[in-house]
Amino acid sequence: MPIENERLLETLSSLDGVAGQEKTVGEAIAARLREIGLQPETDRMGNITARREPAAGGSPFHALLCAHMDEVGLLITEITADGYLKFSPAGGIDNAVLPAKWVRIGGELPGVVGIKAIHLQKMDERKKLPETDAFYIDIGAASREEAEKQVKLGDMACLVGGWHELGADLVMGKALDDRAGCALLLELLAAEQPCRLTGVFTAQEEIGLRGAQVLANRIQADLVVVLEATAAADVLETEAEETVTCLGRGPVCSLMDAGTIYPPELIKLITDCARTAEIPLQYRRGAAGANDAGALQTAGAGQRVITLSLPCRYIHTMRSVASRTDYANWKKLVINLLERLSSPEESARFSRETSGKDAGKQ
Amino acid sequence: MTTPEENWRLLRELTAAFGPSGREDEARRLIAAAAAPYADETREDVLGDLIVTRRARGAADGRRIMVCAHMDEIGVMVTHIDENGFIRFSPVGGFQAARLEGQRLRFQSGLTAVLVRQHPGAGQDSAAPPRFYLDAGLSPAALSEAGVGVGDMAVSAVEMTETAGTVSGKALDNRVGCFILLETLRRVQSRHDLYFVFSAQEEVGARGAKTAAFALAPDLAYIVDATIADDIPRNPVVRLRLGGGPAVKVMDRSVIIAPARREAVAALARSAGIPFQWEIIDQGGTDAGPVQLSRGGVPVAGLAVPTRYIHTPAETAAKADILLARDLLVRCLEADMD
Amino acid sequence: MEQNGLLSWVEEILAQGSALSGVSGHEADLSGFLADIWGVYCTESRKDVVGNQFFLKPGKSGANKILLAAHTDEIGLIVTAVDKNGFIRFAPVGGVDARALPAQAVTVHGRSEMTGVICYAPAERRAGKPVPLTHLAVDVGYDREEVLARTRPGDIISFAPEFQTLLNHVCAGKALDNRAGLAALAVCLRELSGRAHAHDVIAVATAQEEVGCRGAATAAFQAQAAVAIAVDVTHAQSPDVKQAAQLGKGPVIARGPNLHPLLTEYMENKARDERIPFQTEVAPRPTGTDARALQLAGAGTPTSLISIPLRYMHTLVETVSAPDVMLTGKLLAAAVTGLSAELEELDFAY
Repeated sequence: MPIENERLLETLSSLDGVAGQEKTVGEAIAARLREIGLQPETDRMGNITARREPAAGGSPFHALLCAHMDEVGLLITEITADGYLKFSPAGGIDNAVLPAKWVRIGGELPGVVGIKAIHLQKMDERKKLPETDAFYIDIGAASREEAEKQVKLGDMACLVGGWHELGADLVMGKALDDRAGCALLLELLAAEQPCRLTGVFTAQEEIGLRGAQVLANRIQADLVVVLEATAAADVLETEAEETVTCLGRGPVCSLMDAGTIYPPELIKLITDCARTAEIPLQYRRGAAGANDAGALQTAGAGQRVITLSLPCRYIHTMRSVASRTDYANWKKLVINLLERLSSPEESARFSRETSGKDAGKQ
Repeated sequence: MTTPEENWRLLRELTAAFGPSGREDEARRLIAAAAAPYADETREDVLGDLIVTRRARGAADGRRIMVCAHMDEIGVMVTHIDENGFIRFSPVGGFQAARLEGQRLRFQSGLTAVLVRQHPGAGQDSAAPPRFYLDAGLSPAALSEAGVGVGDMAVSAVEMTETAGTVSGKALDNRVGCFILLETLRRVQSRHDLYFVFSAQEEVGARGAKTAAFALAPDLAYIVDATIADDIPRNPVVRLRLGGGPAVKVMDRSVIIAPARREAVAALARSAGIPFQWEIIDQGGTDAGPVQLSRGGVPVAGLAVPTRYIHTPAETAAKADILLARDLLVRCLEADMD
Repeated sequence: MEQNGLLSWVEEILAQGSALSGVSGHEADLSGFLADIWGVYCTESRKDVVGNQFFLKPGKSGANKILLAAHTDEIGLIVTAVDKNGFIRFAPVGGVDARALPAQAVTVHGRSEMTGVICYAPAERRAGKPVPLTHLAVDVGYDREEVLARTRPGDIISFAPEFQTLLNHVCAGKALDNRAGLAALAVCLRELSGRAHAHDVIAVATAQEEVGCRGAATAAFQAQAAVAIAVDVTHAQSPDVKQAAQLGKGPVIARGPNLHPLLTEYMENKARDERIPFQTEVAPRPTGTDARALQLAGAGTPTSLISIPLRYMHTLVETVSAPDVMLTGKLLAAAVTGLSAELEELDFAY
């Protein structure tokens, strides 16, 4: 199954946007929103919001869909006397993927993460990875002065991955976490939907769900659906119970993570949607990590949240890998869910007002 | 596949022959005798290589092929005998004492001694690397009388055992290669001049093959050896298994075979219906290395018999693989050369 | 102006060379590239059984032969097995650093070329420890049956190229060890094309250097040259490497028992004459370059080693200075030209 707008996903994934520096990504998303006839609004955290009303006769049910714009990356913390850059990670990156890799600073300046040549490493050096503060970026500058003309402290350095097809069904790019969610959200906003839709592209997710926190103070919806990319650890000899999710087995419904216990009635509804529409569905095994759902669930008087994710191998590296079929099924599942929630029956069950009253009765 | 009993007896005799690197005399005599009926010429060089010539049969094309299997085995050399007759030694080749603890070694004179791990002793650091010695139960004088002194070598005293499908014992690396060469020599009818080299001192760095290749300056060389079979418990990715057919060499630490050359061998195997496996090992070199680099370069290919537990007295190989390696080698030597 | 033209030619060659794959023993894909950058200045070329490629540029007298050697091969990986889930296991070809492999993109040269990525099980995420080579694999995104249909043990895996020009004409990419050497020799041959030189120049692109200077041994045996010069790369300073040459400070002339003292001194003098800045490195043992094999050819061959400083050797981000490459080529050309008169005068016997 193809991705409807794969070119859009490729474009978004190749843009650079570490937490707090999502401007380029945000501009691309805003441009696309205007292209599809919506009015993007940007708040002071950098979150971008767009609303789409249903066609006449549509359901008043209000769904908030969100995807985060930022990616893991590096922030420049020091420029050495001989013109190298030191950095600190923004978001969780395994040090094992850093040695001898390409980076791009400020969206354009190329650099490499250096490593001492294997010939020169002592035996004990070969047995350990450098600490984060031992890494450095080489931009070819001969001195601090020269480097300072190109780079300021606090500038972001993004991992460089490029876009590749892998096998028959897989795509490989950087920052699929969570540009895949952004791409899906744009696809959903571009089409007619059965209910009220608010799409939010959040900032600063990777450093503690910060964008979503202010968002929750402004917007209240009947249901929040977080569109995420989540780890698929179905690699090599990993035992089934350790894989979190598997590529090619469909979109992922979270049961619980470090930020959220998801409401069972929603999990049931999604399971039912998937079964009726014959969409493969997997539940996320393991409860580590958190996403924007955590901030949104507890904001204000609280909201119903659910996370639907795209399985993704090698997440938080420059080579995240996802399945086109999973992506297409992910989209199908979200559309199905919105349709179900727009039916008078489910709409009544899940809308803020009616379900609030129900709770009061009990 | 059936083979006369006496053929496996030849392999048994070959593995039993004493022949650590540099002391290959006994093995060389046995091989020379076995080769004699089929040889046009037999000679020995200064490093101890045995070179058996079999001239072209039929319409000779003037091309020269070197076929090489090393005849030496790993062992130990006596470095010191203390006043109580305990024998200290150094390894010859990749001999690992820890894997032979409690086993008997045999000297060329026939005397045997047991390999013992030295007790660390009170107050000694138990984390220090273990030390070993040989105990023949004899005094220094008696040892001398039994023909054992400093500089003498010993090898495993194990004898080859056989099942319906496998052989097991010491020195299959590489008497199995010598066996294949001898069996090939008996059968082959080639238009090329063939030089069967039973090389010396492979286990200490492929020394014999180097000088033999220089002397022969062949147009092409085949190296036949035993190689690591890793079809053992808890190995999720097996590269070479017993019974999967002979291994066609791709790469080892000493050589990368030209892709066209290994494909030529593979094509001969396929056309003859001989199953084979690709050999890629990242530990250990072979005679193929120095032969390839002899003079201005020699095209080389390699065949090997997958063997479990290499460099132990329990080296184990499949009879079918050995015979198929022989069949494949015969075809390689009889094929036209480009 | 001419200088800038030469410099951008060097950068172009580095980019082109870096994009090609020539893992040790599998160097054939570079033939066309070599014909383009060397062949046009030479009269003959041929290959040998080990994979060396020879080019001849005849001199006026042809009395002696000067061997200029730069290795073509690069490090890489080789397929050993496909595991039960379809991940490709591999062994290294040459000195591969396992620490630089995770998340690298690769090309598997099977029946058809496949893109893949080097992966490891999340259980390997042990704080501070690198993932050992045996626990890494290539994910090509197919199931086991499909992978087995497309690749088999013995297929080469090369690193997916990426090349960038950083500041100061500093170039970064894969296999600049030793595409930089090939580029320097291209500069040399180009410079020589306008000049008279007495002796025959045999430029050889040697094979299999990364697995033990194998090609150089047979190449030197065949060439029987009067003198030999190896052109390779050497370690350059970086934050974690202090005792080394510096990027951008010119070619490095090696001194030590592997190199002939008179020839070394001659090279240094040539650099001074031509006002080419150079650096010195000291190799107390046989160098890890083709010079190691060249010196032992025939009855011994006077050998010199000229190196281009390079950072992060044997990774995909090898970094060189294009001006260093250019100056190395110019020094070689000056040395070849100058040797016309002096070769007879130099007494190479110790």
